[in-house]
Amino acid sequence: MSKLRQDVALTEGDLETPAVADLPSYVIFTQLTKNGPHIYAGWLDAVDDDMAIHFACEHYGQDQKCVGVWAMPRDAITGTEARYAPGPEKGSTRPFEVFVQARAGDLYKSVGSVEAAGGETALDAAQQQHGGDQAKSIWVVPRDRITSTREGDMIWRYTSQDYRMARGYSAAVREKWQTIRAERDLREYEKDDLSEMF
Amino acid sequence: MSGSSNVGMHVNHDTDEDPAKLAEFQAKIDAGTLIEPDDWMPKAYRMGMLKMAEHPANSEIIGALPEGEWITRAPSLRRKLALTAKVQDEVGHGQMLYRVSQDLGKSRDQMLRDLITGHTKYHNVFNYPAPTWGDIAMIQWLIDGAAIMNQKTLADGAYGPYVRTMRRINMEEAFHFKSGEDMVLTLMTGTPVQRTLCQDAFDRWWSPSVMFHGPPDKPNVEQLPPMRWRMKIETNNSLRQRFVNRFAPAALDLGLKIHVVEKDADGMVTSKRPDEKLRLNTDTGNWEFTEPDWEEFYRVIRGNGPCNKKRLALRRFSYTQGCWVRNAILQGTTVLPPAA
Repeated sequence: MSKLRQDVALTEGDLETPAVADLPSYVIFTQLTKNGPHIYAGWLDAVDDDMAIHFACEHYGQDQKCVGVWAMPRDAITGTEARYAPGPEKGSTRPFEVFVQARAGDLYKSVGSVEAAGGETALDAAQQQHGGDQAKSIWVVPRDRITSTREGDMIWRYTSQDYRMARGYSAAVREKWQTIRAERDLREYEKDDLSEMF
Repeated sequence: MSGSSNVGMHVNHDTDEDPAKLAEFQAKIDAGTLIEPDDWMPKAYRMGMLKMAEHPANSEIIGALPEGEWITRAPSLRRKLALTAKVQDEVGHGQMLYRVSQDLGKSRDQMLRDLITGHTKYHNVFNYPAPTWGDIAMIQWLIDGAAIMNQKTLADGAYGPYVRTMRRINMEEAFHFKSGEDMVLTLMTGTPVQRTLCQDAFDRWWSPSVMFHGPPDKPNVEQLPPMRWRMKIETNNSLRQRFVNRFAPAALDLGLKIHVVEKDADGMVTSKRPDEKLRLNTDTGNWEFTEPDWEEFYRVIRGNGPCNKKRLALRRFSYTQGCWVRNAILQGTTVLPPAA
């Protein structure tokens, strides 16, 4: 252990360091297969698009095999939910990507795009073409506000990452247990494993 | 790993709410419909969910500290890679849970400051020391094992953003647990020195693990809002019993002995005796065990555990040292980093 950690001053009380505002929020979508949909992965805070996409690849691109990542700022979303209010309409149209959450609790998925002059008209078009009244929620985001990894970018590493996956251990662990425990006891013990992860 | 079994219980649930809206909200919960951030929710639910997300977020970033100390001392390259990835995962879980909390109305910086100044808590279990590699094995096997039991139930909760986050976290927790299991199996099938190291670590961690799911429940816990609103799915007692049923026989089969221990102020074992109550009750199918020392639990919660001050001091140091980075990012201010 470093001396720095060992000898850290046991200071208590109020902080002298000034408080800071939160960074802008970005929502992240990952694409698990080429030509497959982009699926909601989660959120992160970043100072700009560049930081967002790098952070997203590192944070959301490493726990599943992943071929593409999209990062889009929260203020670029127009949604059927009140907190994603539309921005101003512009004269010329531009493409908007459409994301649908089919039922409450589902993950948003990209389903295609629409051409529109602004968020409100894009949302109308998306509702008619991609969800109607069936979806729990729809988001539209101007394509030019989405930061994307490029084809060929390395997200998922080429070297083995078995060491950071449950399945990298499960066979060896089971083999070791089998030398110690009866099969029935082992099966009972394994009931509380997250078996879908192996 | 995180834990939030006893969070949300100290929220005032008696705030005035529109009875019709409250009934509609309860009906949605009962029907298994997930609550999304824009849906109407009682104030107490919002406050409770904020606690449910903020507390484990704090636990994730504090929990990374004892394990982070061992990255440079891991016994092989593979273990070093795995531990580095685990620590990265845990801090990542913190970032995801802070994000959920931000949507419930609190800024990330305020949460970090409240943690450092002691206005909010993190899980008690991270106030214990990890003096050997055996402790790292036990943290991953017992503590991550207990956390998975808890988080599996939380992923069946009612608040959509929290449920989605928990599902993603669980995917990574499975690796943490399996890696820990592998470490414990390796130590217990190794040399006498390795087995002794493992037993000593087990003696330090068994009791905090049994306390992991929180103190004994109130008698009416299932009627209280946290469970009625599916913020919390299973009682502390039930989770604890399932934990002991799973891990006590596994530990015994591994050759570990389960002791009742006494510890000094630094969390090191000063005396131990076999847990004489430990036995399988064949009528109930449950393992019986000696209740942990709940006075110790509350003492540690109040800030008097072996490592409370050290953990928060290190977080404070890191936050203070990172000030110039935040300024540079947010304001474009160019300043030199402080001397380490």
